[in-house]
Amino acid sequence: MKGTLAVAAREIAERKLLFLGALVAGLLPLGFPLLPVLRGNSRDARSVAVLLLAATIAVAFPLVLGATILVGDIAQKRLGFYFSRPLPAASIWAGKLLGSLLISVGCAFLAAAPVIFVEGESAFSSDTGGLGSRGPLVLALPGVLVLFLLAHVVASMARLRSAWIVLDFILAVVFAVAIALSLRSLFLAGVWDLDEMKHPPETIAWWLTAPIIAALLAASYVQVADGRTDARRSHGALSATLWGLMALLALPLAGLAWWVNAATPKDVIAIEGGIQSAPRGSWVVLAGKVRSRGAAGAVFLYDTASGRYVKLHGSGEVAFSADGARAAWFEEKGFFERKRNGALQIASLDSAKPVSIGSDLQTDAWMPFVLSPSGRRFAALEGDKVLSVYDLADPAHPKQLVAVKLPASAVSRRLSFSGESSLRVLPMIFRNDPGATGNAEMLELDIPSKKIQPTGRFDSAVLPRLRASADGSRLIGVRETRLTLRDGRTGALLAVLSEDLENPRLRFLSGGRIAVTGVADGKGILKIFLESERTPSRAIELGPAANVVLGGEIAPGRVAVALNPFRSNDETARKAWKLAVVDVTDGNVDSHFSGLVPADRFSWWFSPILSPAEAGSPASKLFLDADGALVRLDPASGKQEILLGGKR
Amino acid sequence: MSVVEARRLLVRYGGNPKPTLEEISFSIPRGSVYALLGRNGAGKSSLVRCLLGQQKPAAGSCFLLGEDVWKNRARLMAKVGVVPEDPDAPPSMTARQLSAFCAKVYPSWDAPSVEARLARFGVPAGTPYGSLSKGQRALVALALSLASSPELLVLDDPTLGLDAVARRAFFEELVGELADRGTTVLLTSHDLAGVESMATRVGMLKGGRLILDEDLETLKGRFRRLRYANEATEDPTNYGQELSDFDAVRVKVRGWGIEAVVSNYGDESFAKFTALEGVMDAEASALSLEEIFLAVVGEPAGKERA
Repeated sequence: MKGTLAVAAREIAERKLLFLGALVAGLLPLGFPLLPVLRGNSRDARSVAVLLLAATIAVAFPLVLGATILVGDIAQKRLGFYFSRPLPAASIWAGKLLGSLLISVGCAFLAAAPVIFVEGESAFSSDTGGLGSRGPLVLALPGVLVLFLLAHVVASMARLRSAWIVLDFILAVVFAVAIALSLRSLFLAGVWDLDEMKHPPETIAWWLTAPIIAALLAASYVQVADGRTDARRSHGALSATLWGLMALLALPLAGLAWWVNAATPKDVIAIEGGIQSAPRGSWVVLAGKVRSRGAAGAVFLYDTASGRYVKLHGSGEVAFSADGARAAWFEEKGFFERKRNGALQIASLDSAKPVSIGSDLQTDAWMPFVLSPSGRRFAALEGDKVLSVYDLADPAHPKQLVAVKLPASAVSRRLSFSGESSLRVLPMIFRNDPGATGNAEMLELDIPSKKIQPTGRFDSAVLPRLRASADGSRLIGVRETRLTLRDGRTGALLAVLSEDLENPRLRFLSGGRIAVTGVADGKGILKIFLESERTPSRAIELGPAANVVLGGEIAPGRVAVALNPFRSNDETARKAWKLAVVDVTDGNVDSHFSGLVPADRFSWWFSPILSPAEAGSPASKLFLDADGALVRLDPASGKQEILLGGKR
Repeated sequence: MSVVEARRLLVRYGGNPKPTLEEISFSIPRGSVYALLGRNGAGKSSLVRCLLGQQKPAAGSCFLLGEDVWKNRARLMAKVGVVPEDPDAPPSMTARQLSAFCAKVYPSWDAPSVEARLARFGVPAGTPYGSLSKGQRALVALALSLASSPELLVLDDPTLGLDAVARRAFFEELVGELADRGTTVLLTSHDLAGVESMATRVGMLKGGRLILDEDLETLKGRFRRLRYANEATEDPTNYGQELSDFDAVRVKVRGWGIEAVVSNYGDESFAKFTALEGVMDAEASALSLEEIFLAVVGEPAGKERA
């Protein structure tokens, strides 16, 4: 310690004029009130000037000292003076480091000291035009340390001029890329979900930076302790230590990133929210937290029949063809972006081993997209302005068929194919924008003629949330408790199906029937309509409930409905679901299953298209249990088979 | 116990296939003044840096006062005074400030002795080190190296570039120190005349190898210059077997006869030599250390015509 302080004191003594210079420079702003040009706002100008001065010193001094103090001694063969004294290498290293830090921080403080002395506590008050909070001052020391070490390492590599510099350059690029890609991968996987962070981002940033600072510190120490006066060996010691430690940091990080991203559907602990099922077949999209991977989640296209899967590196928004044999989605292109912009991916789900084909279609904007019923065409609405249709005969190179500019709209839009040649644009209102005013048009694009024309019009003030039936012939609209059935092309009102149910849900059933559920007077209600009827052919009271979820037609004429006495989605509520299988013909409730809720609740929020009416479809038999497991229910035997997850 | 010991020391730089020092082994007994000699680039400074624990050899090890210097450098340096080849003290510090700095890091430090020596040398104690002449810097370094009363003094070509006055002051101070305390000294120098007056033992480096390591008196005793006329043959260069009993390091043919430097001189051999037929007017004269150095290190052994 004595040696460290002696070396530090020597460094400081050699540069004592810097302190005087900083103090004098810090005194100059006190004279601002004397300058006529600054009268009136001299206090602000003084604070800004002092801030700039102190910040410049706090940045420039460690950079200059880091590039000269130790490296200069080694390069100019002056370190022998210290090594021929009874000074441990640690004292020489620590003394030089300490001296540099004290010079940098001390000079920055001296530059700010006169204003702080004159202003007192108000110097730190940003309200009064002062220096702002003490936060930056608290961060000054580690910041100065980082700058010093970086300058030292870079200067060592450049000035000591050994062959190690080639390796330095290569490894710097390799590790920078490896660490950045690993962090990106972990970030995109949601390992660090900033919304769920217990600690502020600055703390997390320091956690990530601390190992790099430690590596820089260790490398510079070993450089002095092992290299001593031998410049070549000194450079070698620095590089070997630095890159060795960086490897210790980067390799586990890369391993962690690989492991987190190597999760398969079998690693899913609990499925979040629900699933989106393909219109036909057994493929679903599911997302959930994965086992032993922190907050990381994963999204999969998963075949509930065979267990085949495709991992999605995106938000999980997937468009299916009508037969469920082709899926399309976007994968992230940006480095730390979690939006769905990126490159279009296409997968043929009917192949033995489905893989995604990255296309050269990319977008920088968030946009709705949809596949045609055959899956051979893809449409996207970019920036709510340009509607494009692509031919996917060659999935890797989509060919643009149409690109038309849409008229301005007061609300958002969604897309829905009506056959292969016609594309509909639906106005879409969201909960966070209920007060939008102006016209909201329904549009129809005729793809062969490339002509677009309005087919219907809504006042956006009363625009319901619209979803199309699978064949596009009808729309359902929901606004608060009012559930309406509308014409699929014009949006014209066909029938008001419900006005008294809270949170009404609808499904098209086989035989042209329609099921509607909701809550009325604390009871779950199921209403069955024939398509031609405006009043329900049957209204079935299901019992006390605060929340009702309508499932599919689990078997011909039998609809799954889950009831819950709670509105929340906490653990108590999850365990409280009770599934009823209702015979829509006679109104009998055949059986109850505790803890089960339909997995495909109402399609995912972004999908404008409802599931097709199909009795006994694979998707209709999928449920989530209280632990978030995906369960297949055999309606005949009541047998439950856990497909995925279940260990929340 | 040896104060300095090197064991199979190997030093190699970069991709150079030939090592700078190749398996160097030697030791310096306590109280000796060891002169390490060699031409420029022979590896003297590399050897000194290894011996001071400032440079790690590729192989082998160095011991000071019986301890591994690489491992125990900091502790050992309290007992070692160093005058480096290139002045390496911070240039902005005065001799007085350097002394004050050293006083903080050495267990014992005789600051007044530094002042006294500088006064004797006529070196200003308040002038920044970087502003002093090279000779003055060497004298400051010597004053600093002696202030801790070291058991070992390592001087790496300290008089290089000094004028005659400074050189004399340097060596006088050194001789006085040795007389007072009997400090062991390792000295590299090109000033062979100055070294000769102090050295008790000599080592010579050539081509990375220590080709000679012995007491100076023994060395000087076995080296002689022989001059003689050769009448055994008509051609003076065609000398024959008359030097066969000697290890002739160098032979030159002069107009008047032959001059040879031999490294295994003995009175009996010389008497036998003078009695040889054809050897006329033979005489043997002693060599200075510089002459021995030139004979051994200067040029390849053999015969030449002057």
